[in-house]
Amino acid sequence: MPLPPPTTTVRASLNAIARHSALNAFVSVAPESHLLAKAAAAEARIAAGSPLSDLDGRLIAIKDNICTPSPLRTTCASKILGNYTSPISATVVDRLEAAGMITLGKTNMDEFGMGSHSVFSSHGAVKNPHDSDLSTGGSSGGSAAAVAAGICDLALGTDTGGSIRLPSAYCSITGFKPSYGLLSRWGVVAYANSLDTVGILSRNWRDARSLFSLLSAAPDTLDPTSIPRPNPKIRSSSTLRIGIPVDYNLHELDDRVRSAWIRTLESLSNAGHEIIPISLPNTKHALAAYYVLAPAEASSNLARYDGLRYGLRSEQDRVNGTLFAGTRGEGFGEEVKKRILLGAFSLSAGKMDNYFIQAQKIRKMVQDDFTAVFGRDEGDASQVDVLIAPTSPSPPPKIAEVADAHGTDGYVADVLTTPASLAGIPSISLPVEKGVGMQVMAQWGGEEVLWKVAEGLEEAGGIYQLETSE
Amino acid sequence: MPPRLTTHLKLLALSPRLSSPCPPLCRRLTIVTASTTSDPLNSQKAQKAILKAAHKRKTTSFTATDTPWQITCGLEVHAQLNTERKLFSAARTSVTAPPNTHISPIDASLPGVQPTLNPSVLLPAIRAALSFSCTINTHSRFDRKHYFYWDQPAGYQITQYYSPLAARGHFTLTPAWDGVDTPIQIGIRQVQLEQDTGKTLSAPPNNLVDLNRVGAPLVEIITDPFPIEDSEIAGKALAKIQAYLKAVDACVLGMEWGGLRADVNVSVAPRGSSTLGQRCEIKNLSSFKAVTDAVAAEAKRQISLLESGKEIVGETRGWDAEKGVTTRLRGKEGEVDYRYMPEPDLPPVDIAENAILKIQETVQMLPEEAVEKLVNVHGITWKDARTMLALDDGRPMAEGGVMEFFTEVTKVVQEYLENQKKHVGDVGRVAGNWVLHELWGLLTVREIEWKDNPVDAARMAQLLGYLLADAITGPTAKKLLPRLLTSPETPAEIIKRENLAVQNHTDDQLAAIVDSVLATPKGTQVLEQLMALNSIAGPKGDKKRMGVKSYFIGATMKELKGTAQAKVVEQAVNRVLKEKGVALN
Repeated sequence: MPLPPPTTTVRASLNAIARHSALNAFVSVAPESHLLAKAAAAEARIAAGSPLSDLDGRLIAIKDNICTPSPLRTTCASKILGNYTSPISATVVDRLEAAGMITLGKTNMDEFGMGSHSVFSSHGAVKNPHDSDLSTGGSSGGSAAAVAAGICDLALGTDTGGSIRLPSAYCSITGFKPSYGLLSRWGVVAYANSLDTVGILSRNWRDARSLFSLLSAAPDTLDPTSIPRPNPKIRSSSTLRIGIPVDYNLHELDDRVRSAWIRTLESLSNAGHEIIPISLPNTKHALAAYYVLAPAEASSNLARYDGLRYGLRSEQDRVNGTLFAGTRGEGFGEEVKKRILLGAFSLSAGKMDNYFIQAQKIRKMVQDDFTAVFGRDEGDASQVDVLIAPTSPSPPPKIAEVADAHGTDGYVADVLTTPASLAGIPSISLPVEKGVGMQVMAQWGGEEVLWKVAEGLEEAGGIYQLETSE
Repeated sequence: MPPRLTTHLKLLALSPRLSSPCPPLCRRLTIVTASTTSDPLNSQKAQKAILKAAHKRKTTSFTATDTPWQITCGLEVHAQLNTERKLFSAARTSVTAPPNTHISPIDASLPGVQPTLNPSVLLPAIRAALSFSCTINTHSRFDRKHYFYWDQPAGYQITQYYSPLAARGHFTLTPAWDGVDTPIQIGIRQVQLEQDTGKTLSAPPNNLVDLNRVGAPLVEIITDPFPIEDSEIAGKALAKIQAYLKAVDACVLGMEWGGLRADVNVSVAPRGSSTLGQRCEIKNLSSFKAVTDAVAAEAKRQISLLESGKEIVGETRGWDAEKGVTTRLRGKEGEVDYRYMPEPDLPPVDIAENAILKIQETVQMLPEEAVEKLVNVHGITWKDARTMLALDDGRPMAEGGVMEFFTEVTKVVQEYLENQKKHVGDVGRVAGNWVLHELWGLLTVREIEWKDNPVDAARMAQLLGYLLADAITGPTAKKLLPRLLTSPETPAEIIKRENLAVQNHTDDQLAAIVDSVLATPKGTQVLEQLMALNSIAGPKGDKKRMGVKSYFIGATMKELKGTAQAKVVEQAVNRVLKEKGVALN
């Protein structure tokens, strides 16, 4: 089905943003004249048969922690960067724009990426397009809602412990977290550098594949953790060995989720793929390790927001000589403050060995679990090609319940996504029914095999299709 | 009269008399010469330098030798590596640029940036570590050290806490070089890379912040604790570290530019105690004098506390140079918890073994080695070698420096003499004299800096080659040298055009010239004087006759216009005078 011309899409998207303003998905939208000019230029290139790429003229929404050129602000949904416009633009933004794609606007999120339901935002909570009482998931909730509501086909998000996959599952779309290091983080505001991964939310896994291929075409010299895309050989067999990590079969798993998991595996098995139960014994420690490591890095990364050079400056700090205490007190939300304190605690001289160091050891064990089933190198006697497990233990919970959750209760939604984050391996959450996603995980650099599973599941009729008007 | 004798005499006349009486000052000056100042040749300049050095080094040292206390010291020295760009950004390092003009988004720690290691910082840092005989770690990492300060935009400093670039080295203070009584070996615990902070300029009621320096590459050198008998040792240790950093061309020079800063730990314990006393850290000392004085003041403070039965409280202190005391900055309870964390953006630094070997090969010799080589291989004096080092600003074999020039000249002269089948034993010493005393003396008088020296090594070598091959005389060479300063001509060109080369005169030719000198009225008069001396016998007479005779040698040589050697002329003069009946032995 041919796509409508870009100018038509721009108008439709702007209308959709207005129509869906209650979703609170966007925090800023590019000026209409700018969008139309870009769209017209793309239209001309396409008409002339010389598009810049196969995504030329396509619209994309960008999570608000990814730096975009002026006039779009980059606020990270934080009061402390409420008026911040970045002088740099992210490499991923530069690359997609160089390929003719059009940045529609910036999407709402949990402040600095810290949250699982997109409610911790200085711009207010994001609403789930399918049911406004339900959680959108987070932290890339605005990107997920924009795609699920049909405002645009593609959005960029970031995934530190599940922040793309969880909202994608809750909003019934595709959410792809690539291997750590394959998409540049230059211009992506750090939450936890060693885990932060730029990824793609889309209505269709093929779009995600195209955009990933475009953005990962070459490493980025500005990002010291950027790595060239590897070319692993996939086993020539037409059937895959699919692992089921039995440790993901939590007691707390919602029945709808468990039955969707079984159904997914059945359809793949019927298509001739081999299903192999395997164990990742350290899975149970992953969540705790994640919530030590990510806040530790966050407490460090967020130290720079003191209001002295840019961002919010509290009146108190101008007159009282407190310098930055007032700014940080007013500028950060409660969840961010909680994680800064948690991180500062686990890095402090007396606690470092018991928390941060232990968590790093667990991280290595989690990584080793995956390597044990995938094999380290090509030719290794690997047990499986991919793993399939639910993205979340449950379909989206009610926002009211989440908002009432105390302490760390809200963190439990991340229990199934944090292992892949700790290991830095690629994971794609595919919608298998409304509000339920299945994540497919592969060894680092094994993106190709993820697409193969997506294709297989699609052919087997296992992927949930959003209605176009939704 | 061999030319080198003249030069040597001249040297004695011009050298500052370091051994002349003024014991305390000179003792200190010897130390100073060890690492920093020059050994100037011009007497006025020398005096000025002595006074300046004495003024600068008027330290208040403290000796513990006669006390029941043992002082222990430890240094943490920060020096700025001399690279073009910053440690983790492409912004240029600069000392003099207008404030806030050399800042990249990385230096300002804007949201969304990552640091990228500038690999060129590794070379000077490794050279620095190798100069202290450290083991270079093939695998090192970066860590974040957290604390808030307005001149540190990230809220943390990137340093190397857990796995530093290098570890386990040492250097030795020696009597000859550092003016210590016995050699003192000081261990280096580690050498690490880290970022500098910005600068705060106080402008009440404001503080002005200049971020140009943010992210400039620093090397931090941490010593093991070392016992000291005199607080001067601490200052000397800092001086030595600086001399080595200079020698291997690792760092921005000049402490006044903030190129070198030290924190010093001081503790005091009863003599013979097996454990160290409670230490206090004195922050941010930026000169040898400040280190010596601050350590003296701090040791005295601690001893007086201990002697009055009080305990030392572990704390961080500052140095008040005006009052000459250390002051409490913060105590244990106020200690900053730096919350060291591995830097998650920066990959580890892996250095191949063979790369380290390669760098080791390129590391310039240390000052002591370089001077010893000049003395032992080239046969120049210890003092001349030290002078060359000082003229090269403490950097042995610095490009375009005196030492390099001297070595090149010596090499070319030796090759020339070998080709000429001439055997001259002390080419190095002669070349040293000519380079240092004749050439540098001329440059000094004309106020030409060494880097602007118009005499290239090739022309200097040609001049000395002719001289040592006896192709020209010493006086001719000395007349030629100043001309090389103002003319691009080679010595060979001038010698040929003006017939200055030594010629083979026959005895008759020489005798004829001596006769002509004797025939002049003055000659006749001097000959009469000489004949009158015939009556005085023995060595006393010989000496007198020699003195008078020298007139004839000089006058004959003048007639010959430098085309005969003095020795040959003297023989001819002797022959003629003997014929005339002068009593010569």
